[in-house]
Amino acid sequence: MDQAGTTRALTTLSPILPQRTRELTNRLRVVRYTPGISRPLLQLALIHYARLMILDWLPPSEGNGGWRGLRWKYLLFESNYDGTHADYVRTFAEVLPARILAMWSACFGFDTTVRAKGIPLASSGFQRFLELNQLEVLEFYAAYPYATTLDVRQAILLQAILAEASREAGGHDLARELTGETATAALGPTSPPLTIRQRFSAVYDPWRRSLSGRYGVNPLTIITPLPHGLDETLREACADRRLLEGLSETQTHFARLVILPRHLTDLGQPDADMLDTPYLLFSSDAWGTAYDQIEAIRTKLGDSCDLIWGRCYGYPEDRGRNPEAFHAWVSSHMLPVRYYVAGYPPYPVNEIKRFVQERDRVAKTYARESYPSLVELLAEGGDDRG
Amino acid sequence: MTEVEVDEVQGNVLYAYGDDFPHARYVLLRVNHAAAAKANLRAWLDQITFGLRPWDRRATVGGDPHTDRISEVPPQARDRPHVNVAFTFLGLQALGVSDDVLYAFPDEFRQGAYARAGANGDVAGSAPGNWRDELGRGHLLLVVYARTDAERDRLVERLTREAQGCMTPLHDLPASRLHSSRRSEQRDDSAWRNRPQGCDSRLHREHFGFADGCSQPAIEGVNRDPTGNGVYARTPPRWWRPFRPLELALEDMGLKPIKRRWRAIRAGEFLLGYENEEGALPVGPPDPLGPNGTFMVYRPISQDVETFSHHIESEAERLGFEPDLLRAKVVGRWPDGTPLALSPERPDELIADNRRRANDFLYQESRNGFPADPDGYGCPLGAHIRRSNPRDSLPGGGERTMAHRIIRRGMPYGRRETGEDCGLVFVCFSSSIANGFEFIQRTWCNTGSEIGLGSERDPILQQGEPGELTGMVIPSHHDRTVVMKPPEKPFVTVRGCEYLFVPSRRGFEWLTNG
Repeated sequence: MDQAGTTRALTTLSPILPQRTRELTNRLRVVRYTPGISRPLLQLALIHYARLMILDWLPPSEGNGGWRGLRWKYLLFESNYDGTHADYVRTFAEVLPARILAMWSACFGFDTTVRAKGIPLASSGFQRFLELNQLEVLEFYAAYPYATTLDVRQAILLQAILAEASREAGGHDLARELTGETATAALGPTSPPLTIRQRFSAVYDPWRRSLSGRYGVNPLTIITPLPHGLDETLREACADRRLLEGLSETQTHFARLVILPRHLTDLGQPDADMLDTPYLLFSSDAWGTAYDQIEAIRTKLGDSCDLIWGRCYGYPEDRGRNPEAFHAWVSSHMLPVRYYVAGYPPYPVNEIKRFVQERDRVAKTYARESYPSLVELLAEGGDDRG
Repeated sequence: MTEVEVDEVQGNVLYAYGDDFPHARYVLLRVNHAAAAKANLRAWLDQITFGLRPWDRRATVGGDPHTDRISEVPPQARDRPHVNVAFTFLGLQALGVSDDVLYAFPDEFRQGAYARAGANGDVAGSAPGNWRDELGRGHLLLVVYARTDAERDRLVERLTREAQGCMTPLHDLPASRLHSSRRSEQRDDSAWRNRPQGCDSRLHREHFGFADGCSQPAIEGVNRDPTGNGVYARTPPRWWRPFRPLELALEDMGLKPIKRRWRAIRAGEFLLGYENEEGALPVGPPDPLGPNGTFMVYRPISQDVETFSHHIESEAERLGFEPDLLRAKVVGRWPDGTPLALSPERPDELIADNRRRANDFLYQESRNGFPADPDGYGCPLGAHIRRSNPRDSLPGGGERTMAHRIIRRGMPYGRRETGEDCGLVFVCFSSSIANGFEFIQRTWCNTGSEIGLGSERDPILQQGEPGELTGMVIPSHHDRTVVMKPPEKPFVTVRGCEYLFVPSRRGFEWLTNG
């Protein structure tokens, strides 16, 4: 199930042309540290979080070997987006052709599927290409499934405006009318053109937060072999209940379980990779460090944790009592993320939820009253604001 | 330049029949006996209009004053009523078209409007369960355009009488253009008839009082002047193509200004058998059925004029707007067709009377001395025309819209004065219903995400139960953003919808002979 509320998950795995591997790796190194420069990507209010990884090794499926190298290197792309798959891919292709070309043109099958006569990128071809590369999403978890990227952006912007208005009012002049800025923040467009300062902040802020101990939202990706028959067991379990529901008590924004089939994406490369066993990919976007995320998985997923990974080689049986062993096991199955981008500034899940509720309340106030006073806009939740 | 085989394409697709044929009638039929129906349709072939151009019509009043072209169509063919026929997927099946041809049609056409209604936002009173006359389940649509309603009705009666036995009428909707109240529009001389067509042509009004069909796409190989109606896009020379990825990357990073200009949209966006904007042929059946054919959406929409007027007047009073201004903010044009982007304070007859001027505007960039309006202070972001054709205002620029344009040939039906149901017969043509009508409806009209308005929906088209409808954010006066309240019930209700295929002359012959 790749959908939670209005949000969907997409995971693709594309084999990389050997002659382009170095170029792609270097390009990912560069863009990793310049996420804010891509103006259209930030203008596109569609993606919550997206990441790119390179998959070239897999952890052992049995106890008799180390990580096994794959014949081909693969570009692994994951994103959480709003709306339908077709609209997302089309919008992505129409708005970000240069980014798509830079990344996926280094993959097998791109030239034959996507490039059309006389134009660099055909969106219907790109859609076909992604369909050929798409992996099965078993389960998708979203902490705020009905809030779109735009809703969250507006909610964060509104929060800042209301906090400033509240400070300025100092508790004395709450009856004055706010300007249209508040309504625009809550209901209108969130200024698509980016200023130089905003672009600078997009690069600088993640570093600043990590230095100050406020880590922001970070990606985590765990890849584990699925012993014989476990993929079917998981499919049945996901049909019955939501395995990742326990994450609702954590600071996890989004998470997913994805199956990597034994026969990896074959787009015409010679001797496509055939694995001994399918693999399971768990990815999450959560507030805090990787340690915090693993700890949340260990303590909150409960039985689901054992069902998902319990039969994997090396999985610590005393997960509850032996956190070090669990952390060490997960750390040994983590994939490094090469590029990570967020659709809005990082906040903890509970704050985002509160901001979105606040925005909805303000939107309702505006639907009732054309020029509400600051008192009305700050009516609830004003004390803990700022 | 692509050569379009205009003579092969059914009339009213590439060139509108226009004011000379103000009366139409839409008859949806069900095929009872395939062989007899084919024979009957074959007999209709001579009456179906293919490839009529504006100068073919104008030759009746002394030739086209704007071109030196002389009509080659005999007068009797120009003046007679026009007949067009389109088929649903069920209709093609009923006529016995083979599976390999049927499955070459795109998914959305095969599924049909009934199955796709939910995704198109047809809910509550507009849900398929409430559609009338078995719309969504018909086989073929017969459309007749005539100069008078009597002439139209005579022809429809004759054709349906001929089809008796092999085809059964399910739905029959007469429609006529509405007369404008403007005095200057009531003249009826040949000079007036031959003037350059503006938005506020004397007959182009719908029941809410607005000029309809102002903006139509400029098609490569068909329309000479793309200004305002084409796509505002990059048009680099052919030799530049190898460097295009580099250029796109520089533009992405904001290191290179993007230079765009108006150009016509490729014919493949509207007709099968031609290259579309992706350089590919649109999905459709093979030769001879496919090429020069197109897809049509037929969608009668009932307009609740009382609710619309009452809501606008009460909200105008509450928000401190002039009712006419609020009405214009909702639509994005003044009733005469003047776009708010060009004249935000008042309608301008000089603009409205000139179709080129009335469409030569952008939202993100200033043009011809008119300032840009990226934040919607003139024309709100959620206004009907800004949603259905965002021009250059979306991330990605004009290119974002070039694969999502449709040719519209709407016609009002019903008379308000008599108290009967009145509304608009929405008709549009494109080579892909999914990329055209459905995409516009779903992505731009039924949600505000892409234009930065969250869950806000098109104020005119939105559907839903009372309490589910959304208001409209109106940035105004530069420091006061106001919100128009949601109406108590929708302004319009969909009476039904059909997805149809409009075959070319060769396609029609193949279909009725095969």
